[in-house]
Formats: sequence, structure tokens, C-alpha cells
Amino acid sequence: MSDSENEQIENQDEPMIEEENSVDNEEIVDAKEEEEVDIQPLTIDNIEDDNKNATFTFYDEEHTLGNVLRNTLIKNKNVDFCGYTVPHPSEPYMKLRVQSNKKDAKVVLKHGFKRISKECDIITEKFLESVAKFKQTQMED
Amino acid sequence: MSNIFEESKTRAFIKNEGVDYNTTVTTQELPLEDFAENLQIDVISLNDEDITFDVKGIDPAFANALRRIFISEIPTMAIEKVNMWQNTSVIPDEVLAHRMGLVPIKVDPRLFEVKGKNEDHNENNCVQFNLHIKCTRKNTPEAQNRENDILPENDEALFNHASVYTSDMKWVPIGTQEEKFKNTPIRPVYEDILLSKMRPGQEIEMELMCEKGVGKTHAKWSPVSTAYYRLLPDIALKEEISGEEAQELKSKCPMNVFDIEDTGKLFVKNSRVCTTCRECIRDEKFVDKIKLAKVKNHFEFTVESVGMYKPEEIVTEGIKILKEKVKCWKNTMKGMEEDEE
Repeated sequence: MSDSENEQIENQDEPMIEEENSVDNEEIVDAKEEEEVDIQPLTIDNIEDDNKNATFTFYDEEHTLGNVLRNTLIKNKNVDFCGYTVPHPSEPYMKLRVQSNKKDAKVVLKHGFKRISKECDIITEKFLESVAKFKQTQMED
Repeated sequence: MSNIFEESKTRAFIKNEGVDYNTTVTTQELPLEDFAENLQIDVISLNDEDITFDVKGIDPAFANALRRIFISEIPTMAIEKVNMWQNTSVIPDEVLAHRMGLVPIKVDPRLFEVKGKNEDHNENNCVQFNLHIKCTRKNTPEAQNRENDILPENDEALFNHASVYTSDMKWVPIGTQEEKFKNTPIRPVYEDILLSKMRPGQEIEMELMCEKGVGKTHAKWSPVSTAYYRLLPDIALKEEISGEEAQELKSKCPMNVFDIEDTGKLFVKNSRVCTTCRECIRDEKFVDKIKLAKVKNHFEFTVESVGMYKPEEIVTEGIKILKEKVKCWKNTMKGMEEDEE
């Protein structure tokens, strides 16, 4: 094959590749934009029994919040059942099922949030106290 | 039997194989005052690098949430973008850029914001370092004699900048940063991390842009090297052991949990150091004589800081983040209800 032939083939190929690329890029951009629009931080499904039962889907949460929330709600005497799951480890969702016997599931969940928040306050306070105490005893030594 | 049943509510028993752990879920919510009263936190040791503290009276779920947050959700600053203008060293560009990302940066991340997707680097979301270094031959007769180059151990004596260290990174203040960080200049946590080795004529020139992030995205943003908890060991002797047997048991334990009194009686000197190696109950004759257990609601946390935060700050920040997380979701729910109305 002579040099001129080579050049011709290259020239023929080039525009083809460019077109393919440009189409691909547009598609990727579109897909990304759609994804961003769809994201909802919190969705509530399977609402039954006068809002007493519900499944909450938290976006971008994992076992960190899921387990601590389940553990807190399970102790609430208004809660019949509470469980959580991370359906797939590579999807950023955590699902929490709450079944209450008296109250609206949302109210129960909010109570759980409040409780965790208060426990955090107490732990922080006690921790700072003990750090101060430790530093003081070290200073004395 | 009922005694063991009662005890299994608060203790997990270590057997020769495995552990007897009965999950006990209290289905009653403790009033907050009781929770505060039961909660006991003691700092065991604390220095510039790590902290060990006891937390008694919390649930495993809470302890684990804190541990997970310490590792992956406390934000720090780390090199994220590298503009490489020159790299003629033996380390390929992408490997060097990745290596730079792992360098811990000493700067308070609380003073910065997370960089938005379409945002440019500015003084509120970025710390910039420059690294420009060139290896040259020294002006001594030994250095000029190229036969000396053969042995790599001569490098430091013959060349300038044969080794590139983190101390060669120069902080470039953006905007008002110079004024803001006058008293706490921004620098790498350790000045003696070896980044690359060079020979005469080789050169590295880079701009390093630090961004705020969390360990969930990449481990370089994790503020801890390790953060773990374990249950406090509870060891007791069920019956008196003395004489030769006492001597035998004492020498069996590699952590020196047991000691012998002047009277020849064995006693538990320090149960905290037990690593649950089970060496003491491996022999059949001691199985029923020793109670080897763990206290189920007594967690001993150890947090080792990489150096961006003080160790005790990691703990307080971690709890704060859990609280903020909960608050954020509470607000999201409020927002949803308002939308419905």
C-alpha cells in the first residue's frame, strides 16, 4: 500500500469516529442530567393501615444510620415492628420499615430522630467531661 | 442454671470454640435521665496520636455507628487535583499523583467548604501547594567524578535533592488565606515522608490542589488510621487455684492476666489486657475453673488519628456528625409535610 492510499483510508475513517463520539457524549450527558433530577432524598412507600405502617427509603444512607435507627425505634412501645435493609451495597439506598400500633409512622420516626439526637448530646457532654478529668489528672502527675 | 441465664444478659461467654452471645434487646425505652445515669465514659489513655476510652451503657448499634463515622464520614482536606507541569523522575505521572493524594495535610477542615461540582477552586474550598524541585550534581570533586554514581547509597552525598520529601511542598495561600492562617501555617502533617528519589537532571514541577472530602469517597480523606472497639473482658476464678496449678496457669497467659499472691493463691491481676487468645482454657482441666467473659455493654474504643485532628476531636466530631445527620433527615421530613399541605 502506498503512502497516498494510507492517507485516504485515514481520512475516510476520521469523520466516522468523530460522529460516533459526539453521539455518545450527548447520550452520557443526557443520562446524567436525568439521574440528578430523579434523586429524592426520602421517599415513603407501602403506606398502610391509616398511615401507621410505612416503608421509608433514605438516599445515601447505610448501616450507620439504619442500624442505630432500628435499634432506637424497636424500643419505642408504639412500634410493633421495625427493620432496615440496604438492598444492594452498590446502590446508595437504605430502606426502613416501621409498623406502629397507635401512631402515624412518620411521627414515630421523628420521635426516633429526636431520641438519637438527645443521646448524642449526653454522650458528647460525658465524653468532654472525662477528657477534661483525664487531662487534669495528667497535669497533677 | 438460672444464674447463668441471668448472667448471660450482661455477659458473653468465651468458649474454646466461639463465643456464647445471647442478643438481649431491651424492648423498653430507657428514660433519658436513666440513660444519662447509666452512661459512663472514662478516658484510659490519651496522647497526640491516639485515644483509648471506655463507654459503658450504650447499644452495639450506637457504638458501631460511631466507629463507622470515625472511619468514613468525618471530612478532612486531601490533595485531589494535581497539575503536573514537569515530571522526569522514574515514577509515572499517575502513580506520583496518586501518591501525593495520600499525603496527610495539617489544616482544620472545619474552616473549608466542600467544592461543588461546577465550582472553581477558591479560598473557601481549596488549599494549594506547589512542588518544584530539580536534582543537580553537587560542586564537589567527588560529585564530579561519575564513577561514584554507581552506588545508590552515595546519592545524598553527591546530589542536591536526591530525595524528595513532603517538606519540599510549598503552601501557596489563595486570597485571604495568608492572613487567616497566620498562626497555624498549612503544611503536611509529617515533613519527612519520602515522595520520590531522583538523579541529576530529573525534575518535578506540580501544583497540588487540596479539596474537602470524606473517607467514604476515598480512604485518603479518612482522619483515622484505625478506629475500633472491643468488649471489655471480664475474667474471674470460679474456684481457688494454688500451688503448681497456679504457677502453670500464670505462665500460660501471654498477656500476664494472672498473678500469684504471697500465699500461693492465684488471682486476676489485670483482665483488661486479655486478648481472648483462650490459651488459659485450652487445657480441659481449667475450663470449669475460669470464667472467661465479655461485658456486653462495655465498649473500649481506640481511635488513632492520622494527624489532621486531635484524637479527642475525632470523637466529638463523629458524634456531631451523627447528630447533624439525624437533624438533616428530620428537616427533610418536615419539608415533605409542608409540601403536602
